[in-house]
Amino acid sequence: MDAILSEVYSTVLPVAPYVLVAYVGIWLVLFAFIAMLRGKQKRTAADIDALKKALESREER
Amino acid sequence: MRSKADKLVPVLLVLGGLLTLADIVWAFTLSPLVQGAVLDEPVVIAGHMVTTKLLFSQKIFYLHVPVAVASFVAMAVSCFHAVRFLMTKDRAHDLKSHTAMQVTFVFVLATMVSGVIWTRLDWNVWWTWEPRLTTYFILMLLVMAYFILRNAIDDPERRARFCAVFGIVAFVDAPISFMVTRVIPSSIHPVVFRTDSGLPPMMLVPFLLGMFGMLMVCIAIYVLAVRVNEQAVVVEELKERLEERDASRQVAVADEALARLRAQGEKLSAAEADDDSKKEN
Repeated sequence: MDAILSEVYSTVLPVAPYVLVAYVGIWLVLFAFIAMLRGKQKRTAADIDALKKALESREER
Repeated sequence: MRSKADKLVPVLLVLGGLLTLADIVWAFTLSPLVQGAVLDEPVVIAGHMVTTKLLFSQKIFYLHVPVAVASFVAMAVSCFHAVRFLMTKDRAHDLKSHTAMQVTFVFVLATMVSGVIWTRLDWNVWWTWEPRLTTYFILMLLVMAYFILRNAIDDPERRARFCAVFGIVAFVDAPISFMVTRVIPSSIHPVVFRTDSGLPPMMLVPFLLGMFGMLMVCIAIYVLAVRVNEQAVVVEELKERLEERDASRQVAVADEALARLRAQGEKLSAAEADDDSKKEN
């Protein structure tokens, strides 16, 4: 490749994977937190149902 | 039943995601590359005269800065609810302040991930003690300290009060980190938020799209996190009620058993007294 062109591309092509990693990294952190929240939401909803049933059964006795 | 805020979460997430996607597509297709060091001699690429190196790493800016601003906004929300808690002693504000701090930490982490990669690309180092980086690093440590403090105190009242005060004090670092480049000019972090931002429209528009998109994502995550933390509180309250009910039931059973034993004891002593009187006769 032409020396000048390779000088131009030296700050473009080698950094492309890093730029991609930066973008993916941001979304990965955000999606991981959202997934964690959704998981916790499902668990707590199930816990609330179970605890309410347990309380009702105690009250019926 | 789902509240209005719950219904808002998917809408904000999708809208925020779309705006951010538009930001990314624009940034990589239409926005010009920032110019770096001057070349030994100019060269023509695709009909354009190029006289400098082109900094592709600057593309990180279009998502990195909106994420960083979202972290400041989340921390401001945490501080607001901390102040409201101290004024009203309403535990709902403590929960919201805590939740906003969790969201702050997530956005700080995302900012750090992208920032460290950018630092590595442009200066060939993973970290440098530059004013913005240093104050933002301190901000991250303060947010971590908030959670350490929260886990260290058992009494809910004291925990809420101490954390509210700490959250307010920690927030002082946010405007310092935001404004530090105005006080100590840095070539690394130019002042972006000013009346003449210096950004040409082809760079400013995607940046603003990313900004609004990321703020929407931040609000959606906050609303979702508040709902999850509220549910966790309900679980704890139901557990306590169940334990209280079980405990009172156990007390009642124990009282019944005690009453039965006393009755048996009285019967036995009456029988013994009868036997004694018969023997005497």
